[in-house]
Amino acid sequence: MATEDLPSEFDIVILGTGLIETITAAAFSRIGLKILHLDRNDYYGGAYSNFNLDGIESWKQKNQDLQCVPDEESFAVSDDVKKLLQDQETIIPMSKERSSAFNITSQFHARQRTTIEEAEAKKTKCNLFTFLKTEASNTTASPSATANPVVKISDGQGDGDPQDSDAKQQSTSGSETQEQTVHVKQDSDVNSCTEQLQSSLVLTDAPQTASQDVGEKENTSGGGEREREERDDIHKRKAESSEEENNEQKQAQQSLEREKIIQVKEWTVGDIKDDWRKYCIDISPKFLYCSGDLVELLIQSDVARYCEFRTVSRVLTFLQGKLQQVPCSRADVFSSKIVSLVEKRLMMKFLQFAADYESSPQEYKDYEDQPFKDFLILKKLTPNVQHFVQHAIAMVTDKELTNVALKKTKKYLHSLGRYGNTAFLFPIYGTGELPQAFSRLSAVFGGIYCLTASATHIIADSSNKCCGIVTTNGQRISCRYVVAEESYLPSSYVQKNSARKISRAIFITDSSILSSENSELSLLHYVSQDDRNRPVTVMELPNSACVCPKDVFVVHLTRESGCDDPVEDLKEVRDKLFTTENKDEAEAKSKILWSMYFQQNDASTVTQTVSALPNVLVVPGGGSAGIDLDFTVSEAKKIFLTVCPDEDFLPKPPNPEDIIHVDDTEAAVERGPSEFQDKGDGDGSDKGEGNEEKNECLDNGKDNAEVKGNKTDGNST
Amino acid sequence: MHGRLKVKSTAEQLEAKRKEREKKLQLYNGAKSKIFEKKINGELDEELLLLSGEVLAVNPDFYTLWNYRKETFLELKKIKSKEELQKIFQSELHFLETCLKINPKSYGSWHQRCFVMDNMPEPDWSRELELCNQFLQYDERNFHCWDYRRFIVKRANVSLEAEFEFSMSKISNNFSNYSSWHYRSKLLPILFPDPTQPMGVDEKALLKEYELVQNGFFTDPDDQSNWFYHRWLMGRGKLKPDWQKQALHCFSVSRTDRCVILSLVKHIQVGKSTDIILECNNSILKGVTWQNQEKSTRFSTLWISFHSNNVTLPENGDLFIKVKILQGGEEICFSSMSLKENEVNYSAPSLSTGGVSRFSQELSVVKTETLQHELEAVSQLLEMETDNKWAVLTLVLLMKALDPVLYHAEIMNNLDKLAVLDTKRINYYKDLKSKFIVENMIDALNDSLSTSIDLSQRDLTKFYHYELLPLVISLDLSYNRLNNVQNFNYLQSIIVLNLNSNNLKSLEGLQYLPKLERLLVRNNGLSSPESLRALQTCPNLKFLDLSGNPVCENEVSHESIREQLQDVDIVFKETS
Repeated sequence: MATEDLPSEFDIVILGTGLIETITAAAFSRIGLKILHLDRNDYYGGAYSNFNLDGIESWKQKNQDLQCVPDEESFAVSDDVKKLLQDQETIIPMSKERSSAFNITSQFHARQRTTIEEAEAKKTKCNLFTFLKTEASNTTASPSATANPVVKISDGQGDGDPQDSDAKQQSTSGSETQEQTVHVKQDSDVNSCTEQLQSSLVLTDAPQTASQDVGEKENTSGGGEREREERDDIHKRKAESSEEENNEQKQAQQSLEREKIIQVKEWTVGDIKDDWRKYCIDISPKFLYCSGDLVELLIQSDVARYCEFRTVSRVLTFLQGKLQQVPCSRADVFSSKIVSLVEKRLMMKFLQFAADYESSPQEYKDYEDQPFKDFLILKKLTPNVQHFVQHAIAMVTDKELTNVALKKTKKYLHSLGRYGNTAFLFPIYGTGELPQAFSRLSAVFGGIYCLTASATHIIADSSNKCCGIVTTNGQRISCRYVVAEESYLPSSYVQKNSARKISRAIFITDSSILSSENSELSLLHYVSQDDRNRPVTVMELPNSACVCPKDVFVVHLTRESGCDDPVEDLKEVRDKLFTTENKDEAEAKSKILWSMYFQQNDASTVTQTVSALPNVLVVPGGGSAGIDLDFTVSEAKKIFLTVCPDEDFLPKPPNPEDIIHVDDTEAAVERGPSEFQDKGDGDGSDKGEGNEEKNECLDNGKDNAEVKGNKTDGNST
Repeated sequence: MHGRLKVKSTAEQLEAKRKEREKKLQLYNGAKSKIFEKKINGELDEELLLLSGEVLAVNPDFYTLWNYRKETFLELKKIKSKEELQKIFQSELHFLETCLKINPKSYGSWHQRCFVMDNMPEPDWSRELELCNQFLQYDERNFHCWDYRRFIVKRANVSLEAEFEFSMSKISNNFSNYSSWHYRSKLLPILFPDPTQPMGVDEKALLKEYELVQNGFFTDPDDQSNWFYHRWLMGRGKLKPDWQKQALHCFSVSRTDRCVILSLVKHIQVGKSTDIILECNNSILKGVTWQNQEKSTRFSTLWISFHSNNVTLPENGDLFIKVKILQGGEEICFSSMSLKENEVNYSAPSLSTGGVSRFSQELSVVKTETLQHELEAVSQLLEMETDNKWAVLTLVLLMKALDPVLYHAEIMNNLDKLAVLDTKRINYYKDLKSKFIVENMIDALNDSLSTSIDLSQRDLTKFYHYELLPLVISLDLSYNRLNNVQNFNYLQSIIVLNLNSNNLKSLEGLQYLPKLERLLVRNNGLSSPESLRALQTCPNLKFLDLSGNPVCENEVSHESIREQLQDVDIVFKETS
């Protein structure tokens, strides 16, 4: 959309769609303030965003390209901009986008497909495709086919890119792959079509019915459409060919299938790339404490209805040279075989104390300022139980003091049993869903959203207060407050309180680090022997978390950096739990098929400097090493209360039954809630509770995410 | 469903609800009367199903309507084809699911489901089992659902091993699930039977269960389901009294009293279908009548023979006495003894215990090893949880089973501790303590039951095991806390009974003690002449010490008591 269309007056302009910004936006919109929410990227979430496999490659490319932008560079003050100024107004240029991640590397650890395999893969896809095609033609009459044209949020930038990244990938692997490059490219296109068919007819039928209305982007997918039709023809011709040939093919296929059963599946680059759209890879993967502030906020504000969650199903720990499941709940302790009877009692007794430690101060007061580790020894816990409590429940380092650790333990314990057997939730489709959910609430209450748009300048009035911004399109927009993620603001506004960096690794693996009959969503707090005070958080997400296709896992590793090489930082845990070799050689370790490493500056603790205008508020950025997101709630609340000290922070939206209908003039005032109600009804009564068990397939959900994007964007027009 | 709070509604909502309810009530009553009308007219048709369905959808607990539905289905069964029936029954199952959502504990709905499944042409049992699983996920202790599950398992021949596994999975999820433990206790004796004992469980399987339940009470020692199951496990192997050999506690013959006394393990009622046959020197004694200790023929374990004048036991010569108890023509008990020329009385305690405590079988006859192991585990737990009442009680029971004499002092201490820890059940622990004291005393008698017993100053709140003591001659229970003498008339041979300094308010229970001569009830709470009425039926009472009772303070009642007990020497006031 063109930003020229924007109204010129708002209460608050928010820059960046990270989680804190979107929570704040929702809170402001909820009480009726006029919000303009901009993001320089073409996707939501900022540092909290997630990408599919191609998207993350282009994110990597973008960050590498931005590396050459100097830290201090800001927008120039052109004459055009000066023209927008009124008397006695001054102008402050904003920072240009810098790279948010550095030292990024990524690579596949699987072999390329052979020509035979390639042909095989193509064939099965064609079969699937025709099947879906017939399915589709049966239902094209459905009314949903005429719905909004597709506007992709998280995938939008990915459309043009596959060729790009594929080409890069292939060019390194010699002449034999030249042919393959084409295949892979076509495959991914075809796959995206079938993908869309699978997920929703709305998406692929849109170009046909509304192709005139669609802009440049749709032209490329229109190309895909044509290609698809051609492929379809070819297939029809094939189908007409003699039956004998078919039989031969069948036999060949069967024998191949038989081989597959016998051998452990050996993944190829093509296998992974074929499913590129099925990945949702978080830049900042986080869990939510089941009784944490964010979950409470999601419920209280009803934003929970826009998300679905899975419970983290097990907490692992590395003990006595192997991975073990931590008994964290009462039921776990009962059935755990790795703790003795006496340990069961000791552990339960300690946890019962910790769950309500404030009420028995005599037990810990004298040791408050001593390391938790020593406190546990003093409590006569056995080494096993000490390990579980310190590293898997409290998740603290050896240096952490008792009072801090007890607080963390208590938080953990109070989160148990609310939704599942562990203390954590994970948003399906990734953490990147959360900013979108809050944006949606904001949009429902009238917030206006604009992607690929930002502010180049802040305008200050004579009293040195911010009175507006200039957008990247050169439009002047006046406002009372600017709330901006730190990277948008002039560097003089932002006080960096931490020189900390975090090292991240993302793996796609072929099996779980600890195989189990069930699909497990695992958390491992790994104490690295090279530096016990910088533990590694390992999150292993299965297909059921809707972040990857079947039979593979997405694993996130996060650790405070000790050097400038993320690979070096995470080498120990990688070598302990994973392998890049093929199965038969390396026991039963989980094999890495694709990996990416990068580092981020920890911008989660930044504050405002004194030189900042009083009504320009700094929002901390990403890069926190913590496991959860509860700090975002207090940050957002702080900003909200600075602007509106006497208002409720995201109160519960009115119950549809309690809403009394009013006439038109009043309705104009009540626009927010009534509109909300419309949407709310459609969404049903999904609350935070129980959602995690919903078993929607990946494709459906992706569709949801996109529809969601539509609505929020639709609102801005 | 357990421990959930209900939310009160506001006044406005209440008013709206009331109006709605009134409207509903009208419709409801309309439908109801129409149903009854149809039933009277014998119109058991699909319209009845429809109407009753509407009422039941609102109130699934209307049992009469479920019965009408059953009758209707049986009618339809006669006229409809198999396919049609299958459909009708399927929709009934569907309907029942909605009813169960309204009230998951409606007897009517669950029973109806059983009925449907039994009458359906092609019941889908696996679906039902799945349904049970789902219901038990919502409420794992819904006993209706567990009952229904057992019904399915039986009908569909579900493997009990799988059910055993299921109970395990439920327990792993939440071990505070007594329903599931109970299910295990039902399955264990079937899956792992012990051939030597009825309802016994194979030792190996038993050990596994012990281990499992230990996990439970070490994890949460305050959870009672674990302890209940543990106690059930400890009781495995409890011997059922063997009627053939050990039906008699005691069998006694007396030439002087010219009577036979039988003390049985189980209650019987002589007359009707049960009879006691007495043989003397191989000829049946006829004209013998049997009465219990209350001189009636109501159910009792104690029976005394009365001989009409011409049928008596020979006063001289060797006697060979045989007794048989017939129930419904079948001999359920048999015992015999010989009385030598010079012997006047002879009594045989049939339950010769050979040194082992008569009472330890109350817990178990499983290997002592197992019990010893359990004792160690519980002691270990107690070291960490000194104040856990379940652990203390279990310890007491284990010690009692293992060696009541060796552990006597510890058992007593622990029972005192329990009385402090668990004040709500203080009387239970005191009674238990009394019981153990009496049992130890009886064990110490070494089978010579015809003797004097001294149980004074033992803090007894209750007296136990009278059934074992029909031959005791003298009993000292002074300085205890007894508050009644119920069932003391089992003590058929008692001559001297000392009940001084107790809390007796009445002597009800001392009726018909044929040999009682001296009764000491000094310092009790007897307050009226009526409380002594029972003594009128004791023919041999010669001395009664009543001093220190409220009744003695009133001179008028002295007269009335003297009148009641004419040949008795009564002490009203303590003489120094």
